[in-house]
Amino acid sequence: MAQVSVHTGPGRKELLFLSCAGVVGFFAGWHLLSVSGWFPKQFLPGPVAVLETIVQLSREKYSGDTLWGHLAASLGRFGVGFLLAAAIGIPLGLLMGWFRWLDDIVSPFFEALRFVAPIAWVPFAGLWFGTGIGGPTLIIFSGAFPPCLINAYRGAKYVDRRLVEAAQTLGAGGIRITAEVLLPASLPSILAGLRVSAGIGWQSLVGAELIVVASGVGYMMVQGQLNVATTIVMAGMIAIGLVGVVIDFALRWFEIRIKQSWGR
Amino acid sequence: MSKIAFERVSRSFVRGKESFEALVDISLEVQEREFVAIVGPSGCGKTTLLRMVAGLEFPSSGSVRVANVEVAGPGPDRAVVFQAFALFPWKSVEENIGFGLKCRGVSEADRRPVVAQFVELMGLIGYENAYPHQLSGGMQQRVAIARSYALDPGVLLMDEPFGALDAQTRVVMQEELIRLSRLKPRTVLFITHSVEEAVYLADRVVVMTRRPGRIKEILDVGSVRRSEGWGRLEHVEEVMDTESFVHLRTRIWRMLREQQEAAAARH
Amino acid sequence: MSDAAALPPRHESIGSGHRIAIGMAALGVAIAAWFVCSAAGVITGGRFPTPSDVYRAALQITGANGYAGGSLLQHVWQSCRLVLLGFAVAVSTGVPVGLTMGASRRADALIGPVFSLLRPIPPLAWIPLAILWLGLGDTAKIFLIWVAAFAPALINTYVGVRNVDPTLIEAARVHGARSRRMLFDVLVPGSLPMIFTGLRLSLQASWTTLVAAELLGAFTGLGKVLSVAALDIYPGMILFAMLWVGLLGALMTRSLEWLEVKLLPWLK
Repeated sequence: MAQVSVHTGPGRKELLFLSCAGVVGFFAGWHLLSVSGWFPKQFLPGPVAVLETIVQLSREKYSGDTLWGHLAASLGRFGVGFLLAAAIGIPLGLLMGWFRWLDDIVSPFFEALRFVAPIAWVPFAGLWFGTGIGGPTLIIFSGAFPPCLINAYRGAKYVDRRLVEAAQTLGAGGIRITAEVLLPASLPSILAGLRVSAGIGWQSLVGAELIVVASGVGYMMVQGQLNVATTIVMAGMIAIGLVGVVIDFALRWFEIRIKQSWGR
Repeated sequence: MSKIAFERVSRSFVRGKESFEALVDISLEVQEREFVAIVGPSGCGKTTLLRMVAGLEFPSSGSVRVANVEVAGPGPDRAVVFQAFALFPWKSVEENIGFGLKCRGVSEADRRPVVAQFVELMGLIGYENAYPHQLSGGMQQRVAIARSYALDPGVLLMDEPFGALDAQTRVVMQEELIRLSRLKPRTVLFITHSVEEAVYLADRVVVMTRRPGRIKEILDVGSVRRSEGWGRLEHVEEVMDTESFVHLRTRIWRMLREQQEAAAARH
Repeated sequence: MSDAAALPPRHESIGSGHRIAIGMAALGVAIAAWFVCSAAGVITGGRFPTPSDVYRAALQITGANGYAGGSLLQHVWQSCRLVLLGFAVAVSTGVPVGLTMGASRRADALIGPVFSLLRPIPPLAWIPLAILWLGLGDTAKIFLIWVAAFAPALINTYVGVRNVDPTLIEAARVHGARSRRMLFDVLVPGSLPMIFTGLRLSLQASWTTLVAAELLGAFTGLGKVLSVAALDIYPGMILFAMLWVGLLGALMTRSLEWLEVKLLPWLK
C-alpha cells in the first residue's frame, strides 16, 4: 500500500476515531449551519427535519404517492431500461467481439451515438413517447447500453485463444465452443459491465424523471423544488442514493456468487 | 504407411510490407507409434509444424497428411497438449478431462469410468472436483495430458508441454510420460527447447535450423536407447549420465551452437 | 453458428484500411436511407426530422436571429465555457484531495466516510437543490458540474496513489526520501495514468451534467436550445443540437486523450 506515514504510523484506534469524528462533524456542521440563521430556514433544513420528512413521506402522499410508491415507479422504469440494455447490449457485444465484420459495421454507429449524453435524448423521448414509459426507458437505455456492450465486446474479443484452440482440438463444434468456452470466458467482463451499467442507468433515470414523467422520485423532487419544500428535495436525494447503493451491492453479491459457482 | 507426413512443406507470412519465410521445404515422415521430438533455435518454426498437424495453421505450399488424409482443420484425432495448459478455468478437473468425450456425445454415465481411469493413471485421485487455479503447474499439466489421452487420439501433439514447469517437476513429468508411453503407446510429435528432454524421450530427434527453418539433421535415438539399454535404468538422471546419452546430446548441442555462431557472424 | 472468428483464416487478415472502409460504408448506407425515406415520405418530420428539416434548423440558428436567445456560436461558447470552468474547479479540488487521502491514512479516515455517504447521490439529483439555492445562472451550473466531476477526479487520483508499486516506494525510502519528495517525485508521477483516467471521466461527467442542467433551466447554452426545441416541437433543431452535444463531447474527450499521449509517452 502506497501510504507514506511516519514509522509508527497512525494506529487503528486513531483512524477509527478520525472516521467517526468526520461523520459526526459533518452532521454537526450541517445542523449548526441550519440553525445559525445565516440561511433562510426553507433553504437549509437541518438533518433532523429531513429525517422527519422521510418518515412522513413514508406514510403520507406527496404529489400523488408515498415515498415508497414513487420509488417503486422509479425502480420499475429503471428495471425496464436496464434489462433492455443488457438484453441487447450483451449479446450484441459478444457477437461483435467474435465476428470482426459485425464489429466493423456496428462500431461507427455506436461511436457516433456514444458521446451523446443520455440526457440529450430527453426531447426526442418526450416527442416520441409522451409521458409513457417509453421516454424514461429510452434515456436509461442510452446510458446503460454502452457499458454492457463494451464489456461484453472486450470479454469476447480477449478470450484466450489457446482455450478456443484446445476446445477445437478436442473436437468441439461451433455451438459447443460458444456455450462452453466463449461465454464462460467472457463472464467476468460481462458482470463488471452490468454493475457499471446499472450505476449509470440509475443516475440517468433521475435525469429522465426530472422532466418527462408524472410519478417517481425524480418527479417528487421537482415538485418539492417548485414548492420550495427543501426537505422533500433532500429526502428524495437520500432515497435515490440509498437505492443506488442497494442495487450496487445486490449486483456485487450476484457477481461473487456466480464467480464461486463457476469455480474462480 | 506413415502416420504423419510432411511433404515439401513451406510456410511464409506477411507482416506489414515484408514477407517472412518461416519454414522451407520440410519433408518428414513419422511412423505409427513413433515418438519424434523436434528441437531447434527460437523462431525456427517447430511450433508451426506442430500446429499444421493440429490443423490450427496451414502451409503456404506443400501438404501435411495424417493417415494419408490431408489436414483440413482441428479435430480430436490429433490431440494437443499446450505449454500453457489451456485448461478451462471454470471446469473442474473431471469436467476438463471429460470434455473431449462430451463433445463426442458420450453420455455422462459412460464418461465417468473413462475419466476415472485417467484420473488414476495420471495420479490425480482426490483432485477430481478441484479447479485448475487450485492446482500446481505440474498437476495442471497432468490434467491437460489426461484430457488429451482420454480421447484416445491417433496422434498426440505436445508443444513444449513441460516448458512452464520448474526443473524438478519437469523431470518427474518426463518419467511420467515415458511410463504413459509404454502403457498406451501412440504416435507423438513433441516440441521442446531442451535437448536433454528430446534425447531422453524420443525415438528420433529432428534438429532444425534458424529461420527460415529447414531440417538440419535427424538422429536415430531409439536404436541407441535399445542397444545401450536405457530402458532398464529407472531414473532420468541415470540415463543422462550414460556415455551414449552424453555423446548424442553433445552432438546436437554442437549443431545448435554452430547455428548461433553463424547467425552472430552474419550480424 | 460458425466459428469463423475462432479459426485463424487461411487468407491473410484484411488490413485496417479495409475495415474502416466497411464502417464508413455502413454509415453511408444509413445516411442514404435517411434521405431516401424522407423523400419517399416515410419520414415526415413530425416525429423524426428530415435532412431538410435539419438543414433549416442549422440555417436558422447560425443566422441573424439565432434560436432560443442566441446564435449557435453563443450557445456553444456558453456551454463549453461552463464545462471547462466547472471541470477546472472540480479537478483542482478533486486531485489534491485525492492525493492527500491516498498518501495519508489519517486524511483518508477523516474524509473518506463522509465522501462515501454523499457519493451515491447522483449528480443530477442535486439539480433541484441547486436551483433552489443558486437559481438558474452560471454559479448553479458550475456547482453542479463540480458535484459531478469532483468524485471521479478524487477517486481515480486516490486509487492511482494507492496503487503505486510499493517496491518503488521502498526504493525511494532507501534513498532517504521523506514525505514531500516522496509525494512529488514518486507518488504523483506514479499515479499520473490513473489521474488522467480520472480527468477523462470528470470531463465526461462535466459535460453530461451541464447539458442536463441547461435542459432544466438556463438562459443560454446547448441544453437550453434542446429544451426550447422540445417545447416548440422542432425535431430538426433537436437533432441539430444533439449532434453538437455529441460532437463537442467527443472533441473534448479526444483532446484529453491526445494530451495524455503527449504528456505520458512512456505509457504507450
